[in-house]
Amino acid sequence: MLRYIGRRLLLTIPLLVGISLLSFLAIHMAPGGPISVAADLNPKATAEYRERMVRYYGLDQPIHVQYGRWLGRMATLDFGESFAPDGRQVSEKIRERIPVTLTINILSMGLIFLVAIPLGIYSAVRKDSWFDRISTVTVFTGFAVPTFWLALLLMILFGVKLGWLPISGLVSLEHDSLSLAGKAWDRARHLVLPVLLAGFGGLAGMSRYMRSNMLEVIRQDYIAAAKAKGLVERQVVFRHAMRNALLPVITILGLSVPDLLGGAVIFETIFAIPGMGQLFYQGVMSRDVPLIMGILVIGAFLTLIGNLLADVGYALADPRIRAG
Amino acid sequence: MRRPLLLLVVLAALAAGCSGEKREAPVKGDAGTQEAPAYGDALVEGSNGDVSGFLSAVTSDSASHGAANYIFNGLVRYDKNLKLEGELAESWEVAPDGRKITFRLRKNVKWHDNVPFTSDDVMFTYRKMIDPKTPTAYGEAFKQVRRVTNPDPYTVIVEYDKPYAPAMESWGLNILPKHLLEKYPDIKQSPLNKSHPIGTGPYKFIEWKPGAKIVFEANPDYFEGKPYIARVVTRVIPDQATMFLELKSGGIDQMTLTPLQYSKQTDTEEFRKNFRKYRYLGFAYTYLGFRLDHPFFKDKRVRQAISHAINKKELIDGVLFGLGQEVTGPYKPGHWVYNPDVRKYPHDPAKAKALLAEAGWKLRADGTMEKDGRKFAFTVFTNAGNESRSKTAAIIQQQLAAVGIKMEIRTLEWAAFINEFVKKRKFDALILGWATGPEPDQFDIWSSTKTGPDELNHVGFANAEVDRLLEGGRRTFDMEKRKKAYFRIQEILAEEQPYVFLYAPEALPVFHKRVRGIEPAPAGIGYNFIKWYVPKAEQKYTSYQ
Repeated sequence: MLRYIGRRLLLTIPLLVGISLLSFLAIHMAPGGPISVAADLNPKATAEYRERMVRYYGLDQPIHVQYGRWLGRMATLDFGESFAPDGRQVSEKIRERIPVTLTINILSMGLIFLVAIPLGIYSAVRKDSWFDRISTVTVFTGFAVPTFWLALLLMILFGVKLGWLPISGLVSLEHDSLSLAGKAWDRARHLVLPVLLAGFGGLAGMSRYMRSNMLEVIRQDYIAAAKAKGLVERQVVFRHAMRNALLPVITILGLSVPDLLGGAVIFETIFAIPGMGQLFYQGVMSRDVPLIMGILVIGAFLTLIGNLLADVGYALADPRIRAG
Repeated sequence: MRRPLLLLVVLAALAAGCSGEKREAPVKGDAGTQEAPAYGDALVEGSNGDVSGFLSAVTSDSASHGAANYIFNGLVRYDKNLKLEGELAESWEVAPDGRKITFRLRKNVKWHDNVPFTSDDVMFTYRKMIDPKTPTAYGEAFKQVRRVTNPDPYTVIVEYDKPYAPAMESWGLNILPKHLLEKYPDIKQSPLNKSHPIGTGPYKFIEWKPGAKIVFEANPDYFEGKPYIARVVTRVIPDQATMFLELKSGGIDQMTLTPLQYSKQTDTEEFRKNFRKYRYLGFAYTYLGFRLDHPFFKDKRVRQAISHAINKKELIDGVLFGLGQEVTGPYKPGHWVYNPDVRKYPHDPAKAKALLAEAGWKLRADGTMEKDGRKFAFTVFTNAGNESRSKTAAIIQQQLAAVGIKMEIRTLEWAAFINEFVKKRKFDALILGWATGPEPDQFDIWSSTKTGPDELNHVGFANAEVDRLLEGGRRTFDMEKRKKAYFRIQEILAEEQPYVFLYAPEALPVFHKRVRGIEPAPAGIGYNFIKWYVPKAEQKYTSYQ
C-alpha cells in the first residue's frame, strides 16, 4: 500500500511540470501583457517606459528561459512576486485569501452532504412519491436559477427590506471593536447567505447522485434477501443499502478537494468576498503571470492529491482494488 | 475587471479624483446647510476596485490614485475652478522666458510620522521619477527638466530647456518622504507602497484589508486644518448592483450611480429622504473614430455626412438616459479652452445624403449607398464589457442605415481589441472614449508624429496647422496665447471630423444626506473634502471623533 502511494506521488511530479508548462505557454499566447494595464492608451507611457518595464518583469527573455527561471524558483517553493503594482509575494496574497474560500467551501459542502444524502436516500426509497417529485423540482430549480439573480433577490429581502442580514463582505465595519462572541456572531451572519446560496446550487447534483446509487442498490438481490429475512425497513435501508450506496461518494469527496480552494468568481463578486476566485480573475485580467501560475499549480497539485486520496480510499474500502 | 474610460491624464485627478462642472443644483433638503460644522463621524465609500499600491507613481488605476490622494500632497493642485493653486508650495513664479519655475514651499508641514517636510523631499521625489529603477509611467514630464536645485529647505527651482506648459501640472505629483524611502532602490518594493503609506495629506493610513477595505483617519496636524470627517473607509464592492443595495441598507454612505440607477431606481420618496444625488460633467468623452486612410473615410465629405446622419441627442437619451452632454471637440463645455463657435453637425439625414452624393456615392434602389460598384459597408470595433459603448454602436448602426450606410459591429475583449486591431490599425472605425483633464495639451492624440503602433493617434490624423498649434500651445505659459491655439485646433477638428465627437457622460455621485458641505463646482465635488462634515446630532459612527 505504501509503495503504491509512493509511486503515485512520484508520478505527480512530471504531471505537475506538464500542467505548469502548458499553462505558462497559454498565458503567454494571450494578447496583451502585464504592462498593458498601465500603458495601453496612456499618453504618459512612452516607448522607453514600455521597454524598461518589459526588462523589469524579465519578459525580454526567451520564453524557455522565463519558464526555466520560474521552475527553478518553484523547486524551492518560491512563488515569486506579483506583477501588480503592490509587488507583494504571491504566496502572501494566496495565503490571506485561502481561509476565506476554505471556510465558505467547507461549510457549503458540509451543507450539501448533510441535506443531499438524506434527501437522495428518502427520494429513492419513496420513489415517485410526492416527496420525491417536489424535492426533484426544488433541487433542480436551485441548479438552474442563476446564482447572481437569486443572490440579489435574497439580499433585497433579508438585507434591505427585513434588515436581518448584512448584504456583502465578511465582517462589519465595527468588527474589531466587538467581543469574541460578538465577532463570531458577526461572521456567522455574514456567512449565512453565501453559504446557503453556494449550497443550494450544489444540492441537485449530489442528491440525484445519491438517489440513483440508492435505487441501484435497492434492486440488488441481497436487499431482497434482507427484506425476506424479515428485517424492518429502517435496518434494510440504513444498514444494508445506504452503506453500499455511499461508496461512490468517496470519489466525489476526492474530486472535491481542489474545489475547496477554488473560488467562484461571480459568486465572490456579488457578495464582495475577497476569495481565491476574485484573486485569480484579477490576475488573469492583468496578466499577472506569477500569480496565475501560483494558483494554477496549487489547484493542479490538489487535484492530483484528491485523485490519489480517492483511489486510496477505494482501496481501503474495497479489497478487489487493493489486490489489483 | 471593469475598465472605465481610458486614462488620458491620470495625474489630473488631483482634486481627489473628482472633476467636472455643476449643471443641476442638488435639491436643497429641509435641513439645508445651516448646522454648524462638527468634527467626527465616518464616511464609508463604495469602490468597484481595490487599491493596487499606495504610491501613485507606480500605480495607474483610479482606486489607487484615490487612496493616494487622501494620504499625499503635491506641490500644486487644481482649485474648484480648475485653476492651479499651491498645495505644498505656498506660491511659485515662472520666469519671463518660461524656462524656470521657482516654488516656495510651505513651512511647518509635517509627515505623518512627525518629521518635517522640506525641499529635500521634493528633490528626492524628482530623482525617483527619472530613476530608471522606478517602474513609473509618469516619468516623461520630468525628463524634460534640465535641472532641479534647492538653495534652501523651502525653495525648489526647476529649469527647463524649452518652456513646457504641461509641466506645471506635473508638479501636482505626490511628494514622497525621503527619510523613509531612501533605503529602497525601487520604491515599488517599499512598505510605503505595499502596506504602510506615510504622507503629508489630510488623512493618515490605518489599515488595508486586500479585497475588502481601506481605512483612513483624519490627520489632526494637517497644514490646512484637521478634516471634519474623522474616518474614511473605502469598501471594495466589485458588483454595481450589490453596491447599490449596500447603499440602500446603510452599509455604505457614498457611491457613483449608473445612469440607469440615477434616473430610474432612485426616484422614490424613501431614497430622497436619506440620500442626495449630484450630477456634473466629468472629464471624458466618447467618440466614433475613423481610420483616415480607409478608402471610404479619406474623403472629408463622407465623415461630415456621417456626423450629420448621427443623432447625438438620441444617443444621450438612449445610452445615458439623458445624463450627458453633446460634445463638438475634445474639450468639455465650460473648460477655459472650450470653443463654442465651431462647425456643428445637426442631425440631418437629407444633408448627409447630399454630402455623400457630392462625394460620388449613389443611392441604389434597395436603399444602400454605392460607389464604383462597392457598397458602403464597414465594421466598427469596440471593446467588450462597456455597455454604453455597445449601445452607442447599436444606435449609430440604425441611424446610418437610414442614410444607406451598412455598419457592422464587432465587440472584442480589451487586450485583443487594443493589440490586434487598434495598434495594428486593422479597423475601419472604432468607438472609444478619452478621459481628459484640466490641462489642454493633446499633442499625443492629434500630432502627426504620434501615429506609431504604441502611440495614440490611431486614426492617423495629420494636419500641418494643428501640428504647429499643438507645439505652440505647450511652449508658452501665456493663457491667452494657449487659448487662441486650442480654439483654432477645435475649429479644424470640427471641420475635418477625424472623430465624430459624440457625448460626454456626467458623473453621478450620491451621498447620504447627513454629509454636508458638498458644493459642486467646475472641478467636481472632491476639492473641498476636508470641509465636509456631519452635524453633531446626525452623526452615525459616534465612536470616531
